[in-house]
Amino acid sequence: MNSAGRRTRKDSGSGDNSSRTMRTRQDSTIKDINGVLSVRFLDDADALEKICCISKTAPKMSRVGELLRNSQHLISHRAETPMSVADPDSESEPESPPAQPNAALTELNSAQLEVEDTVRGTAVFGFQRCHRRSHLRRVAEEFAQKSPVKTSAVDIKLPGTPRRGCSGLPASIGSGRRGGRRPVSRTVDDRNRSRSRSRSPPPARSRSRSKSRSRSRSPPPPQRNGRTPSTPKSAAGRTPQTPRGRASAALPTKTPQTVRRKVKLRLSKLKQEDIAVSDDDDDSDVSPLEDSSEDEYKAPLEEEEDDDEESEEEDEEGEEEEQTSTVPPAAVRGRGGAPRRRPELEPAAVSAEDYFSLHSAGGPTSNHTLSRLSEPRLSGAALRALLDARPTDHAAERAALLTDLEIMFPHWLAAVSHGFNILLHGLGSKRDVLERLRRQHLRERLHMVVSGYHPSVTPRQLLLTLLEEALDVPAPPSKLEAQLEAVERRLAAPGAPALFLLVHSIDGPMMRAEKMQYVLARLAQLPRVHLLASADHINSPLVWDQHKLAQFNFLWFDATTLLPYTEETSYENSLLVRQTADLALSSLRHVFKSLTPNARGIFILLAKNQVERASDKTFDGMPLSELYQRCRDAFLVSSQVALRAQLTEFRDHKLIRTRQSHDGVEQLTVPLEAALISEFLASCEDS
Amino acid sequence: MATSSLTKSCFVFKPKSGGSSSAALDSSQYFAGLSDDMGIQSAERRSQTFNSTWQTAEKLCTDFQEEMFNTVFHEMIEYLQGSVDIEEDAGIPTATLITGVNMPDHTGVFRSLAERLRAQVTAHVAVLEAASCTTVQATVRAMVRQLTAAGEPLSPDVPVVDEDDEDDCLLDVPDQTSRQRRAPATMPALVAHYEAAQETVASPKKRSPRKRARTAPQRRPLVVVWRDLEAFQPRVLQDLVLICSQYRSRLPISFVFGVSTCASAVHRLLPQHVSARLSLHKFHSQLATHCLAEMIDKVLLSPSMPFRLGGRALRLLLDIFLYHDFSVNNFISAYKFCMLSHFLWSPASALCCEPGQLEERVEELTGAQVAGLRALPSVRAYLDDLEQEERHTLQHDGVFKEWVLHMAPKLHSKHEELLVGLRCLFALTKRLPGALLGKQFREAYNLALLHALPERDEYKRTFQLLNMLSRQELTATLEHALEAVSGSGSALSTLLRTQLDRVRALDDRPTPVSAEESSQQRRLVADTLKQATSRQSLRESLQSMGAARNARLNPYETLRSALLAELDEHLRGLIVQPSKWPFNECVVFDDVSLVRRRLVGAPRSSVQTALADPAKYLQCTCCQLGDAASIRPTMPDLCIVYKLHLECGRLINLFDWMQAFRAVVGASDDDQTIQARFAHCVAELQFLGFIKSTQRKTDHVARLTWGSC
Repeated sequence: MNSAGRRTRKDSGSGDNSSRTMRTRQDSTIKDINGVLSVRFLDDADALEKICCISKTAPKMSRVGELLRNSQHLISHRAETPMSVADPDSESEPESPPAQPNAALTELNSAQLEVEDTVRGTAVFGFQRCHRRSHLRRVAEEFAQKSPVKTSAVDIKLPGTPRRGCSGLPASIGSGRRGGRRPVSRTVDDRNRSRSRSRSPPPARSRSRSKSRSRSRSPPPPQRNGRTPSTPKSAAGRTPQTPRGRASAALPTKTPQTVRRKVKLRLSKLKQEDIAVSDDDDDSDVSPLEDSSEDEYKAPLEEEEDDDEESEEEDEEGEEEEQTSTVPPAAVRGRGGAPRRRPELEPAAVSAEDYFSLHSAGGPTSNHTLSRLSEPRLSGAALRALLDARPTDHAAERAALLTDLEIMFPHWLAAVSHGFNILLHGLGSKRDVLERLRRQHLRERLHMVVSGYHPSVTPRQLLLTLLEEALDVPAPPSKLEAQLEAVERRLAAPGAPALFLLVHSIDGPMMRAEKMQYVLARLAQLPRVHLLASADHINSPLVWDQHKLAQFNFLWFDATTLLPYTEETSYENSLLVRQTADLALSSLRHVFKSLTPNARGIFILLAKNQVERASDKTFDGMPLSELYQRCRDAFLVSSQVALRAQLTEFRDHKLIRTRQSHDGVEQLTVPLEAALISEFLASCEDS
Repeated sequence: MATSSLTKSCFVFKPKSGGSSSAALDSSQYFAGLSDDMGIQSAERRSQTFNSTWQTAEKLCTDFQEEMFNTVFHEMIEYLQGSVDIEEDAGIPTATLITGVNMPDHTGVFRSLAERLRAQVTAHVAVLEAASCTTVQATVRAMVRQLTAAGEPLSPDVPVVDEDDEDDCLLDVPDQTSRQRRAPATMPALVAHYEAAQETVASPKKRSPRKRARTAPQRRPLVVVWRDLEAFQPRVLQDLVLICSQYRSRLPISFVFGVSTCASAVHRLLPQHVSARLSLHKFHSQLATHCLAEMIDKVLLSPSMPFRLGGRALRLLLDIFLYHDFSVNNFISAYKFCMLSHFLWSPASALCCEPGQLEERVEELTGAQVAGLRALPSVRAYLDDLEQEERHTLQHDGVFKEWVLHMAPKLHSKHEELLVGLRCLFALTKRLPGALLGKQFREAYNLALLHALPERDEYKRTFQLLNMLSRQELTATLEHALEAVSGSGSALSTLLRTQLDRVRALDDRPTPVSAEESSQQRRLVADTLKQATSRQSLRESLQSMGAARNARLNPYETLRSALLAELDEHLRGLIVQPSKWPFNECVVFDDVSLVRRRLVGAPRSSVQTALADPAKYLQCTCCQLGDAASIRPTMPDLCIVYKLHLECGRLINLFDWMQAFRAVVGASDDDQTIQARFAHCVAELQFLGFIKSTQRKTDHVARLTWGSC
């Protein structure tokens, strides 16, 4: 029963790939409410109507009410979901079966890449949503004024690319009610097929279709032709003809027009009411104007749409050159799971509602992975080389920003000399700014630079360096509090020098610790310490409470440089950069050199074992008893105590890691990748 | 020497020549560095003036705070002085000081409290801070160290070595051989130290019984101040209280709890069996708003301050105080910054000084500076109003200087006048309903700085309301006003006094209505009643008759309106908006946008603006956006990647994101380069905190912000 219902639903859909996600969602919703009503065998319009009725009686806030509303949106939305949603899957997959990612990549980079990628990019990331939505809003208002006159629906324009399926066309709207949106330029047999489907859905085909919807979809569906980006733009020019074709196609299934009209009006009314109460979805902004559009209002609609198109064309003409492009919200939602909000209310301001919509709409993302690229993760060195080879954009403007800041140096220093501290914020690396300040003005003064972005900076290290190197304290105390007091005493003494403390990224990963900020605040409070710091993280002010802020006594300066954070990000484990183990390997070599021959033997034994069993998935490390046995055989150790002493040393240098297995056996591993270990072993054998 | 290293994060640079580093910072060079050609001549002068002005202000602040603390701590210190005599069974005498939520000010409060305690109650004072007292051991050590260190001056040569080994000291019996080490910081050691100290104190007293020693109690209490009680670990606090109560028989310990929320916090932190060992007394410190009002009155409005805040700047500072931190210290700091900015940026501030020094300053003025002064907006406006000839003579530098010398001292006297007028007006409105000029004098003052007050509705309504007061009320109001301005010795106070006398002297008897008049009136009423053809017209005529009768005032009412008219006229002369004064730019600072940007940081908005619309910062033509949401391929990569990420939900597919990026930037670069650019931008966004890596899906990142701007 259940599955049958779902099948019906699927079949009533157009079979458009792009609305796949939509449909799955709808399926699940419908399934949810299956227990409540039997709408499964109804077609979209009737289902919608029914749901509207029920949702009016059901309490609005209840779960059922919500489900109803959702499904209502889904259905109505699907009805108008444009065919032309540019789906990265459907775009790339026919040419590149998933089995051959490399082939796919070559395809991607082929000659048509420019065009296609623009399309793909717009599909995933609908540019100019605000613009588009405001247009939709405008249309909706127009509609509301002269309802029931239909206006153009979601119009899709992909500048720089041919206009594909004009979903805004009245015909497709009409058909959308019956069986989803069809592309405009479709072959005749395709149209026939859809007609037949909309009349009697054969279950077999639906099954095959649902299969084709899954990842392994090799033959491109026939209607793909209509949606290929290479469809000539003249498709838009054909607009007047298309409706006729569609109308004739839809004719056999038509109920008498008067009845249809009544239903339509009622539907639109229901929808209007629904807009008033539903505030969770922007679908409602779009749906009423499409749902109520009817075939008999074709003529005025066409005119209107033409007007709209013209104005749209004008709007976007300038931007087309820059390849900015737009996409209907549906596409964005379907693919990228973009935040759904009501852009018309306050396009710029962030409202609290955005938060909830972001977290309630778990918009699915595509399953693409970086393995589609020839080299999914560049190495750090390669990345740097590539970036260095490229000329930076806006070099002159960025330099001008820096010079602007240089002019402010005396201001900062004047403020600093009167007991204020400086905090620089703004986009871009501010390392250069502080470095310039240091070189220009602080040459003759005692100063200390702290790299807050460095992963190993600690309060202790900071204070020790300060005491030992800057203040020449021969034997600094070991306790933090005592160190602070020592610094305070030193700097309070008459004749003590003024100390400039330059802190890059005062909100760096290691600087966020309470202790660190406590130390800095204590230091900043001293009259002889002048703090000049930069902050990068957007949430950096959260690090300080009122008390600390007062201690810091910051003056905030906007030091936007727009320079790349090269140094700052070099320590971070970037997502797209391959982790090089050069460091680990070199440290391993250094420690290894200082080991006794026997200890080296033990380590090599352990490492070799691990390399040999690298492919073994169940391998969790070498049990201690086994290692002991082998070491004894190789005359490396004579007793277990001696072995343990060696292992302790290894552990202290982080050469090995021990783990208790589930049966309590100690298991030893070398915490490096097999490839690195074999490289290391090879170098050992060489030497 | 480079400041980037793989292993090192802190770098110290020392000056090559040892001498200059110890020299104090001389800010006058920075003053000069910021100035243009015209300002450079007065840079040094301005720097000096700032220093002296700030010193004046600082002195006023400290005086005021001293005075305030005196009143606040007076009772508490008395209580603590008597605490030694409190019986043991009563528990540890504890003074709970409710300090209020203005945390930044507490440092000063407790420092001053400790000083006072040392001076007036006992040498044994320990101030404990939550940050360094995380365990009982550390707390006892900190407490005992401070209590035993009493009397010994804290010299910079206190050996650092022995602090190192405190742990050992606590655990081991102190080693006889190591002379360096002090006694272990434990309670028994404290008892021993205290008893020894009492003996030494007692013995000289016997020989020379001084007056102070006699009055002082035999035993000096040990006072432990707990700063910010709520921040301590309850466990530590409870244990310490229990330990101390055990030693109560031998050590006269008393506590001071600094509580910033409310007194019940003590009971929340301490269970009954612990708080039973305390005998709590509550003391209130002054409200922060009250402090501020006093501070403004004593410092900002002090006649000895040549520098004044403008209306908008003052409002900003008040807003920061009221809506942000309630911290008087921060207010002072912000005030200092305003003053610094004034002297730093405005060349005219060279004339902002005591009236006595003005002559010298004016003599110093160079031609360029005079031209600068002439170009001041207030001066230009003033000159435009003058006659042609007069204006012409002022074109001459010498004449202009003389004129400056004539006008500039008036700035101070005008401010005084304004204050007197405002104080009078404020006293007049204070009892009127609706708090027309605000409940605090600072509000009225701010209003007067911002607007031309006599033109405002508030002012008009004030006089309307005053015009309705009864005789008693008016007398009281005038008395208040007189009180408010009595110190100034201005014409206003004499005016008020005479007015009061007139009101008091007024013969109270109502003038009898003559019989003729009343009969005439009766006739008039009868006439109107006859004439009335409809109810409507009757009502109208009755109303007009009533109005006519009301218009006839009794002697008090006549006097009242006369007095108020006089007062109004006088006040209008006094209350002049400072921005109307010529040369007000010399003493008034009102660059509110500058101050706001410096004091109220908006790091996030600056980052997001730069990301969303880089043209605002780059000032380039290629990235101008018509629509905030659009993207241009010429924009910096980071901005493009950022804008693309705005369109996503919680999770972002890295591959799709990169394709979108490629689509925007076009195929100008090869794949690898685009990938590298993208990878770098993603790393930067991660560094900035917009995204983070996630395990929820392969090659996805999680978005950390919401909304789309």
